[in-house]
Amino acid sequence: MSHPRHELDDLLGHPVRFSVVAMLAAAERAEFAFVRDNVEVSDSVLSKQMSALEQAGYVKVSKGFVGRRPRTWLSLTGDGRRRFARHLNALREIAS
Amino acid sequence: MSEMQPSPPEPSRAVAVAALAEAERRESQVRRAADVQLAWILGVLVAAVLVIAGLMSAAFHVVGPVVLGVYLLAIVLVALVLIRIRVYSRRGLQIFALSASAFTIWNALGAAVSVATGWWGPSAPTYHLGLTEVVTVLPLLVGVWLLLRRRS
Repeated sequence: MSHPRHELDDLLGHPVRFSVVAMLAAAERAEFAFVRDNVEVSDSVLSKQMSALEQAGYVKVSKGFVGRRPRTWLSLTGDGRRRFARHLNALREIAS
Repeated sequence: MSEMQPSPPEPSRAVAVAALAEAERRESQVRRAADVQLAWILGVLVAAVLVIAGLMSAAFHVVGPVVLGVYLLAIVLVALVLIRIRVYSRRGLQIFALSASAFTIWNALGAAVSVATGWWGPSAPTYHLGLTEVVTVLPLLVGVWLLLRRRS
């Protein structure tokens, strides 16, 4: 049996990306500003990390309007959820 | 795995525990922010149904336009809550959908049984309508309770 560290996801090793994905894992979708405020990062930091996660196929970014106000919604893809679940399981094994 | 492939760094047990705690904290933030808003929507629906039930029981002959007004007010209130929602929790949405679906089915059943048994009818007192509606909001109230319980 291989060590659980082999199941860890490199992309989720980054603390901001891990926090963002952990938040999105509990959400069906979340507003960009909600994630930014709760993870306590700047717009540019979150945008950069979201680009990396979106390019890797972990996160879906969709834009819409509420009235005349633009809103950006973030959600995990099915693949992103599976990878996060695997990463979390590996962490649990290491922690136990 | 090839022997030449570099081994990934091994996080310590303390790092893994901290990461798990962080994941738990983020899940809690979503739960607290999202579920109360969904509970508000169900609460508005409960209030609308109960106000209409009260009106139908007390003054059935003047109730038509007032019912319309109550429904319009409920729609405006729900829209205001929806505008404020910044995150939807997965579990919260499941509870909301189950509660609303159960209410729809329970409400239809209540109406069908009331008509079939004569509980609702031309000669039945108007408060029968109100009493039936009070019973039919139970799935919505359970939904509100489940959503608010998740905040703690």
